[in-house]
Amino acid sequence: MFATKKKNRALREAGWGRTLVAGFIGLIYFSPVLWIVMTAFKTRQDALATPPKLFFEPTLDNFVRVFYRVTTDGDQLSTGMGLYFFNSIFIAGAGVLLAVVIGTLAAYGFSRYPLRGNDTYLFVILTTRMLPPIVVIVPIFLMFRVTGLSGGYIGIILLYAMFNLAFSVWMMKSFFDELSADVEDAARLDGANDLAVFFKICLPQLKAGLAATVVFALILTWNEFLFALLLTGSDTRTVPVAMARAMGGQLGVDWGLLAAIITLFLVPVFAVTYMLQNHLLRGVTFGTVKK
Amino acid sequence: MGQIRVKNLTKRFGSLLAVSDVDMTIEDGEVLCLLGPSGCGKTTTLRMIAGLQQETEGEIHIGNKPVNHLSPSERDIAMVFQFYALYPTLTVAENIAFPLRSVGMSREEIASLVDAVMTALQLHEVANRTPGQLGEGEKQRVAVARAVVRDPNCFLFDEPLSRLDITLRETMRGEIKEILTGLSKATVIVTHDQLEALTMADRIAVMRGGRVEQIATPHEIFSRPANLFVAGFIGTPSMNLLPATFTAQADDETNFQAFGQNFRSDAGKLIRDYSPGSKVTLGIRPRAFQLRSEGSKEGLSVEIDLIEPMGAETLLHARTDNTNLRVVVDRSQKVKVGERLNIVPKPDQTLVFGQNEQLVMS
Amino acid sequence: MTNFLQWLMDPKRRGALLVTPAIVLLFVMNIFPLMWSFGLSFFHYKASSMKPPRFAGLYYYEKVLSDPVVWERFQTTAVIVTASVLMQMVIGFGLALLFAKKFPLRREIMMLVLTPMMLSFVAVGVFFKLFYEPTFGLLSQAMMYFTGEPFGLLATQAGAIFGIVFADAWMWSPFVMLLVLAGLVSVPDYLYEAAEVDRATPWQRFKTVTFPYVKGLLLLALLFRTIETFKLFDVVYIITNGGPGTSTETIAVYVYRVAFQFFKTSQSSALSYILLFVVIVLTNLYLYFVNRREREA
Repeated sequence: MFATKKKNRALREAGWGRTLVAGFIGLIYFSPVLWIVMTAFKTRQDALATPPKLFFEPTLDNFVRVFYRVTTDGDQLSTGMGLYFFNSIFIAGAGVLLAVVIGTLAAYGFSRYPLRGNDTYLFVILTTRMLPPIVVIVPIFLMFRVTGLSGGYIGIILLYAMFNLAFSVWMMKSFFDELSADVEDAARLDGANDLAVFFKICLPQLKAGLAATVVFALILTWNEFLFALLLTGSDTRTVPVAMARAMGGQLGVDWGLLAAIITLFLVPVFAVTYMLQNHLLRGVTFGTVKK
Repeated sequence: MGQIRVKNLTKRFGSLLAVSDVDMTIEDGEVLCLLGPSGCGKTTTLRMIAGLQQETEGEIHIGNKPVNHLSPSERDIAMVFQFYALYPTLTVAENIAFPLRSVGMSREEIASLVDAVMTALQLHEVANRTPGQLGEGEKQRVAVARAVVRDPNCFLFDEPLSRLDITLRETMRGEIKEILTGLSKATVIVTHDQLEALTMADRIAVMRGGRVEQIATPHEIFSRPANLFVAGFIGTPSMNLLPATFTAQADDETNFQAFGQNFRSDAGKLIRDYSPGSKVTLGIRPRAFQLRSEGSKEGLSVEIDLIEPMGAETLLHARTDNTNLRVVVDRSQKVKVGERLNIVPKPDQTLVFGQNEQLVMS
Repeated sequence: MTNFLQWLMDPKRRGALLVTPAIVLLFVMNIFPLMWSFGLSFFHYKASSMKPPRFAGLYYYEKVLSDPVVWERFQTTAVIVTASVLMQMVIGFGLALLFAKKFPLRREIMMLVLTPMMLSFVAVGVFFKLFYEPTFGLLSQAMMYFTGEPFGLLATQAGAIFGIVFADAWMWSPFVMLLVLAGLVSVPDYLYEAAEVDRATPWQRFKTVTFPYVKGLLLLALLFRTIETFKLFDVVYIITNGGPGTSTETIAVYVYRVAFQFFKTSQSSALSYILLFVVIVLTNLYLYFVNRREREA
C-alpha cells in the first residue's frame, strides 16, 4: 500500500470521480468507432433510421457482403475484398520486413560507428519521412511508369520499404542509444567478434523495441492511402483504396457494407495498439522523443 | 608472462589533453591502482590499455607484445566495468560462461570452470537469475566471476567498488584482494577512493590532469608524497599545508619561520644547497602533532576553534594567524573550545615542499 | 574476392557498411526521383502526353509563385493548420492534466482516447463523413432535434473547414496528450514536496515546477503537429474532396489535382519543391529543439 503511494506524486491517486469524467471523455473519443462498428451490424433500414437506433437486431449480413455479392440469378460472386485484405497484409508485411532489417542495421551503424556527417545523414533520413507524401509520389509515379513497376507488387513494396525506413532507423537508433556501450565493450574483451556482439548481446536486449518498431511500421503502412491509391492496380489494390472507392459509388454510399469493411480493417489495429501502449510515445514521434 | 608496459601514452580529445605522456610498468602479479580525482584521465588510461579507446600517441605492451594495433578481443584481457556491464539477457551462469564460449571451449570444460568460479564466489544460488534480478553486491561478484573464469594476460578493474554501500564495500575489498593474490596477474585498478587504493594496491599511481604525479608503494605515497598535490590528496583529514620560510639547518634540526613564530622541526635533511630565506610549504599530517601547554617554548601557539569528536579520535580545528590547522588527537585528550595551547610536530613527520611544489627533502 | 571481403569487413568501414543499404534504398526510391522531378520543374513536360520535355528555366516557379490560386491554397492550409493545431494543443494539454493522476481504470480509459491516432485516415474520413451526413448523420439529427431542419455542415466553407479541423483534432489531440503526459510524469517528486513545504500556491507550483518540465515537449508537439497537419490530404480528400467549390482544398490536395487530374507535371514538381523547402525548414527547427532537449536532460 505504502510503496505504491510513495512511488510518484505526479501519478498520485485520484478517485472514482476522475474515472467518471475521464470515462465520459474516453467515450466521446471512442464513439465514432463504436458507431461504425454498430452500423456494421445493422440492416440497411436500421443504419439509415431516424432517429438513430441504439438498440437493434444485429446481423452479420454486411460482413458476408464484404466478400460475396449475390447476383440476380442467385449466384455468389467474390467481391475481391478477400484479395484486397491479402494485398494489404502481404504488401505491408514485405515492405516493413525489408525496412526494419535494413533500418536496424543502419541504426546500429549510426549509433555505434558514427560517420563523418552522421547527423546530416540522420537529418536527411528524417526529412524523407516528414515530406508530404504528395511531394514524394509525383516523381515516383513518373519513375514507376517508365520502369513498369506501377501496378505490381514489387514497386509498392519497395516504396513502402522506403516509407518505413526513416521510421525504423530513428526508432531503432533511439533504442540502441539507450543500451549501455559498456556491455558491448565487455563482450569484445571477452573475445566476441562484432557479429556476435550485435546478434548475441545487442539484439536480444531490444526484442521489445524491435517488436514495437515492426508493429508501428505495420500500422502506418496498413493505414496508408495515397501511395496505394496511385500505385496499385486492380490486382494489388489495398483495403484503404477499396474503402475510398466504396465511398465513391454512384448509387449512394452503402454505409452498412462500408462500416463492415472498416470494422474488419480496424481489428488488427486495435489488437496491436493495446499491446503497444508503453511504446506509443516513441512510436508516434518516430523515435525522436523517448520519454 | 603478463607484464603491462605503457610508454608515452597520450590521448587527446580534440584540443583537450586527457592523458599526457604516461609511463608505467605493471609487473606480472603486481596490483597497480590508478588513483585520482574525477577527470584526471585514469579511466581513459585504463580503456586505452584495454583497447576500447585508441591512443593518440604512445606504446602499450602486454606480455612483451606490442598491442597497439590489436582489437580488444585480441588482447586477451579481462575487465570488470564500473557498472558491471553484465549481459542483461543472459543468466548469471551464461554471463560467466560467455568469455569461454567466445573462444570455442568444449561444453564440459566450460561447465566445470563456471562451476568452480561460482563456488568460489558463492553464486550458485543465483545461477539462473538474470542481472536485473540481482542486488548490487551480487552483480559485482558476477562481474568479478566473469573476469576470473578465464586465464587472461592481465586484469583491469574500473572503479570496482564505487556502486556498493560501505559495509559491502569492505567485504568485497577483502574478497577481491584475496582473489587477486591467488591469481597473481598484472592488474590495474582504477579508483577515486584512496582507502581502496591504499588497501588493495602493491603500488599506486596518483594522477592529475592526465599526468602521473607519483608512482610508489602505498606506504611511500603516504609517508613521502612527491609533491603538494599528492600530499593534499592522500590522507583524511587531509594534510596541513603551511606557508613558511626556511631559516637554517642545524645537525638534526631544521628551522623555519611560520606565522611570525620561530618553528623548529626535526624534519630530516633538505636536499643539498637549499638556501636559507627560501619560501617553502610545510606539510604536516593532522595525526602528527603533539599538544603542549601554552607558553611552552616548542611548536606553534594556537587557539582551539572547534572540536569534532570522531569516535576513537577527536578532530581539533586550531587557528593561528587566520590559518586553520587540523589536528587529530586521541579522544582521551581533554581540550576546550577557546583554549590556547602549543602544537608540536612529532619527529620526522614534517614534509617540506619547495616553491615548485616538489618535495625538497633528501 | 576474399580481398574484397576483407576490405569490406575492415572495422574502419563498419559504419559505412551498415548504413549503405539504407542510403541506397533511400536514394533509389526517394532522393533520385526527387532530383528527377527537380529537373523536370525546369522543363515543359506533361506526363499525360508523349511530347519530349522542353527547357523552361524558372518559368514554372515564377508561374506558381505568382499564381493567386496557389496562395489561396496556402491560405486555406494555414487556416486549417492553425485552427487544428491550436485545438489539438489545448485539448491535448487538458487531457494530459486529466490523465496525470492515477485513478481506477486509467489504463483502459486511456486506450479509448488513444485509439483515434492509430486509425487510418481513410477510416477517420469515413467516420466523419457519416457523422456530418445531412439526412441521417448524427450531427444533423441532433440539430434537427433543436431546429427541426436537417443540417449540412459541409455545405458552407466555414462549416466544411470546421468539419475537417474537428476530425483532425479528434484524431491528433491524444498525440499532444501523450507528449505532455511524458513531461508531467518526469517531474521529480521532491520538487512537488519542496513546493509544498515552501507553501507555493497551485498556480505558482504549476508555473515553477510543472511547466518547465512540459514546455520542451509542448514545443515539440507544436512543431511535429504543424509539419504533419501541413501535409493533410486523406481526411480532406474523403470528407470534402476540397469542396464546397475549392474552399477546403489544402495545398496537398491541390498538388494532387495539378499532378494527377490536370497532369501538369512540371508545375506540380515546382510546387512540390516549394513544399519540400517549407518542410525542411520546419524539420530542422524540430530537430534543433529535440537536440536541445536531450542536451538539457
